[in-house]
Amino acid sequence: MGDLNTKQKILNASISLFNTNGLANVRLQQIANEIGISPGNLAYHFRNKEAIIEAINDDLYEETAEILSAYRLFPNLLDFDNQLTKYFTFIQKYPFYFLDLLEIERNYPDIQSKRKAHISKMISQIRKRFDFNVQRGMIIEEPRSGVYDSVSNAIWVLITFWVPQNVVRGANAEMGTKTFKETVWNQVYPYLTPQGVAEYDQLIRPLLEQSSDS
Amino acid sequence: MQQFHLDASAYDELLNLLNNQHFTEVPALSEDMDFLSDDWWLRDTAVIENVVAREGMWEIHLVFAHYLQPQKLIKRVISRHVSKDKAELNAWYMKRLAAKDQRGTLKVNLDDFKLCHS
Repeated sequence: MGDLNTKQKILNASISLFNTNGLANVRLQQIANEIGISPGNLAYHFRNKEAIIEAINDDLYEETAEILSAYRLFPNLLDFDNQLTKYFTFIQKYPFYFLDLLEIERNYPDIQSKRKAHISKMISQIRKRFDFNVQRGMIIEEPRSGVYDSVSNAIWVLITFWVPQNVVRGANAEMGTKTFKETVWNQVYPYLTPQGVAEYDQLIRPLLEQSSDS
Repeated sequence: MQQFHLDASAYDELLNLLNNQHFTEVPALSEDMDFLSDDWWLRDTAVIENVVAREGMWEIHLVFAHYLQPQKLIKRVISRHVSKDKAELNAWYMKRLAAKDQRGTLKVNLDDFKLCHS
């Protein structure tokens, strides 16, 4: 049990340091200092930085899979809002995963291949949400072929690059639940039917008003 | 261990099925479950006993078949015995107890099965 706690402490400290300093700028010594253990003790649990990243990657994969499993739990617009909340919690927990995209792409092919497996599922889910809500009469028929594919891709881009754009613009990477959700919903809003707008006003707007940016 | 991987088209199809579920699956009517309590027909059944050797024991099966529509039937396993004679004797008593007419005049007529011999 003691081992497990130290391992978990190392992983938590690593995530926190990766988030603040970036994946490339963290050394094992820093991680050991962060939790007050010797580098030798750290090496007993993880032989190198790659081993730590591999362990974090397993958690990342599990958590993304959990977010993707939140599909069609509610038969209305709340379902997407619920998934957006989960995405945002994930973004807040692992900003380095989004900030160090190119670093991961170049140096950690395993993380990248797992990420890719989830990207297509994420886009498919967003796209199928359009189909589902068109069938429910909440979203208008596709104005022209391919529009909803583009909007789905745009929403994916928004989710994935939310943290980098925040950093580039000088905003705190962990801020913006309300702005994040509003920006995503505003991609969908123009396509809502009158019934869709009514459902949005009843279910989603109150939630957005309750959420804050801090 | 290699991760299980679902290809994009299969995943799309899976999402379509989940979407369709919302439109195809409707709550059942209470009448749909009537068959569980609708057992009045059992009053007009012929009881047929059957002793079957199974797993080293003799099992008593009772078949309750409607005496006019013999295709409407249920079968129940009543008890198990080590001796065949004991099982047959018990089966006869069970049948007498279960049947509506204890003299056994309610019988299934072979013609009611409307079997086609051609």
